[in-house]
Amino acid sequence: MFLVYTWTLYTSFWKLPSWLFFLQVGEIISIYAYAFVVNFLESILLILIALLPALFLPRSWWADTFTPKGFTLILIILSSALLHLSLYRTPDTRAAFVNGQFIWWVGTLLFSVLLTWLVGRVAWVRSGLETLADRFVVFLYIYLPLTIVALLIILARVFL
Amino acid sequence: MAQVTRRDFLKLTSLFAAGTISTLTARSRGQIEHGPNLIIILFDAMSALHMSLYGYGRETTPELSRFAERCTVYNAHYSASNFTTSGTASMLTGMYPWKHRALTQGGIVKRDIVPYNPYTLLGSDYHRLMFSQNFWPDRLVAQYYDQVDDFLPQTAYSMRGNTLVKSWLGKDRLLASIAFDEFLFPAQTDRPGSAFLNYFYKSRVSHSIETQKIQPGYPNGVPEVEGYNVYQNEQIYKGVLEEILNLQDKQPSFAYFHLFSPHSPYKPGGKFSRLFRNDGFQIPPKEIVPEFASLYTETEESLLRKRTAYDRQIAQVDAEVGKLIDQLEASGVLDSSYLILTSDHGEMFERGFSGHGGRLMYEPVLRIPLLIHAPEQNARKDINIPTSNVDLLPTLLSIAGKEIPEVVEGQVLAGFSGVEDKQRPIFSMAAWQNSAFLPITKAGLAMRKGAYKLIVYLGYGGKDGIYELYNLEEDPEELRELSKSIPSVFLRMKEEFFGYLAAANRPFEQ
Repeated sequence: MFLVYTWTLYTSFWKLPSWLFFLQVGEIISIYAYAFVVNFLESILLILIALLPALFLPRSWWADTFTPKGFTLILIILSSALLHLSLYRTPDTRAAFVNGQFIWWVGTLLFSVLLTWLVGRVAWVRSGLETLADRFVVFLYIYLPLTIVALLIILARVFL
Repeated sequence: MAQVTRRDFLKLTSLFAAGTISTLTARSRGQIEHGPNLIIILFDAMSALHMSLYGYGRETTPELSRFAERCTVYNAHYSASNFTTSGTASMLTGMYPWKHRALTQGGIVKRDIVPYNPYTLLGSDYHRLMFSQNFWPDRLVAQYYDQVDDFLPQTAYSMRGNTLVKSWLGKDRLLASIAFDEFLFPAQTDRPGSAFLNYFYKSRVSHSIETQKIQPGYPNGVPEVEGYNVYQNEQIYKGVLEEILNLQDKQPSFAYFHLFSPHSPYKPGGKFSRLFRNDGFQIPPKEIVPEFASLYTETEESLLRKRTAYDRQIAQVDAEVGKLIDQLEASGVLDSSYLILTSDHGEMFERGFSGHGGRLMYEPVLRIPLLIHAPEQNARKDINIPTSNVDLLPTLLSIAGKEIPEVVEGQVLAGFSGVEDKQRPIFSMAAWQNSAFLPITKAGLAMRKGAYKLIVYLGYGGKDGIYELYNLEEDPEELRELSKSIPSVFLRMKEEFFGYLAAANRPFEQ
């Protein structure tokens, strides 16, 4: 949740100067409302993806290490998606983007298996990631209420 | 039973004939009584200076030239800007960008300006339709979404459909469009979007475009609305015809079609992809504004290659328009409708620059076509005085018999009860680096008055700006800059220009 919402806030700073040129404050807040609701859906999806391997892999793989391994997995998936998109910047590179997707994600999968295995093996990395994940929980108490307010704003705009 | 005499028979016959004529006349009057239908077809980025209709050296628009023989043709028609948002907003509001304030690409008009648009001013006695393949006009009209009866999605009649914003969030179309189409899932591939779902969205769109772009007759792929959608002009124009025919039982109607071709990327198909090959076409080399020399550096060879592709795209659009007009004629639509053909801005391939939307304010990027066919018009009428696309709204309102608000800066076009004022100044401006809430201090601006055109680059260098003056009647290619050789004209034009600019800036100076 922290990663997804923070990325949105970061990218919004690219747009904010332009919005300030022609939108009013209430309208800018409404745009953030749409963004936070989408971010909430993204966060749920990412958590489901992190939970998915737990269905197939032996319990010993995840036992006591779900937090650092899940965090690592989500970090790799997000970084991989953002990096792949950043290589696709013009219509000229679109064909390469489409054709290279299979290999890219196979590579991402192998890399994430390797890294999550390493995270489980190296104690200081594991505890470091656990601490980090614990600290990030505080953002849940900020972003979650914001999302509820955002949802109410959207419902009001669309249905009232 | 009384016998019918020869005299009675003749009386009855004449009464029947009179009745028939009066019925026909009444039917004909009936079409006028509820106001005429108004149809605008706008070709995005079509420069009048690339159309053989207006004397271009390549035969790009034979069909429009044919149709022009039955139209009022405006031979010096200007867009109020050199890019879509500002130019289209001016056409819709009847005001220059310094007043409506949709200054940046994707911008919207000021709140108090919103009610001044054809949809609101024609009112609910008109059935009103909007279809734009381009994002930005769609966004402008979304400001008064509730005034539009049929608001088609941008991908209608295209090869890829996306109706999320339209179907789920229609009531909040404006902000939903900004949030989704520009921020979370931007069409432009070089802009970041949401962290995760944007990847899925881009993948889906890219797969869709890649699998559909190669079609028979399109060696370089079909045209696209960059990064968002692919389409074939044949399908788009069939869709436009279908929509117009559907409106015939909803009269009177107002329809605005903002069609993307010939906008870049230029990808003509069929025989048009081979037109003008090695035809020896040349234009005189032109100087680049010294202060902008580092910005505009494309080679003449590259410019000619792009110009040729653009001319081919125009030729294909022209062929489709020709077919559309024939079908509208055959179905009787042209007998009861005003058909208006125009553009939002031009395109240029000279002085080291290709495309539109930069700082430059030369003729190719500002001069746009305007043809108006009135019901049952059979002769051509040429209007040679400079006119602006801010004049279109008052002209539409005048035709429809509606009141023209005083706040509108345009005036009814000559040829439609407007006066032919040769000394009226016409303005164009590109102020995309200027805040919509502040006075205009950084912009490219132009003022056409009579034979002369003054170009002013404010905030881009020079002591108090950069200036150019041309006599377009003697020098239509803008080759001989005159500000130093006829200083009296230059100073008079400059003083007048700054008078207008000061008046426009005044409300924003607090």
